[in-house]
Amino acid sequence: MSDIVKKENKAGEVTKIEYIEFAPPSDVVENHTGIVVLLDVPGSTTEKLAVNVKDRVLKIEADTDLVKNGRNVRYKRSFQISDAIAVDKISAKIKDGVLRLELPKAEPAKVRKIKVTTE
Amino acid sequence: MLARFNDNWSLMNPLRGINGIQKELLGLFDDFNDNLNRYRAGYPQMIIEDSDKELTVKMALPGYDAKDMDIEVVSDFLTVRAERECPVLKSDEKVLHHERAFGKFEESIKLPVKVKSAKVSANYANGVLTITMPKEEVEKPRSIKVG
Repeated sequence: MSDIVKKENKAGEVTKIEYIEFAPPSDVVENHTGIVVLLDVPGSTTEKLAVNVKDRVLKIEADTDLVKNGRNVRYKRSFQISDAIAVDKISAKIKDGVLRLELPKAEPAKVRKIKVTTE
Repeated sequence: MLARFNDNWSLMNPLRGINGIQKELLGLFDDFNDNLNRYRAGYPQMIIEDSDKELTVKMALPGYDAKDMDIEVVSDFLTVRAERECPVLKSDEKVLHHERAFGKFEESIKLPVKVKSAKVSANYANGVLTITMPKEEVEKPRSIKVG
């Protein structure tokens, strides 16, 4: 159901933090230079955001201070990205609760020619 | 298409792909149930917090402009109007996926108690509109002793 994370505080007591997860709505726009992904993550800020790419999966996790039914609201979503995206050039910005991810296209892979010689 | 979606949003979408429907029909219901339990699409629309002295209403309004918001409080009714403009696409842009909603909305709620409408304050930060409304003092029952 929910994600229960145990956190240890200074006194060594274990407190449970329960999260209520949402998959935020997104828009995907393509232009000449790449792809722009816009996500609605109201209540989240730069410190609470985690964006990472692993095995060509772009994962977005955003925490908020919002509390719904006694549980903290958390946004979680992942996208699979193709080889045409330059993974190391992905950038992210947040403004007024809208996360903007820019995924530039990679330079077209160069074709490596192999010379054939006779034995 | 450069980006392919690999998440659970499609479950909530009535126009979801045939593949998804086929999967469900083929008996892969384990996955289906898991999705229903774990994921909620979107974001919480409104959160109302009630304390002794004030009522706080939080509305998630990502990407809105504070000047396009209009808040009205009359006795125990709260009305919020806001608008989010649809971004204009440039000539080289092409929409691959569209889920976010744009346009005008109006939301009216009846508050559980009467509030001091003159002392209502609102703040918009990080895509969340917070409206703080001090409660109107309720006349306390007075007990009268018979001498």
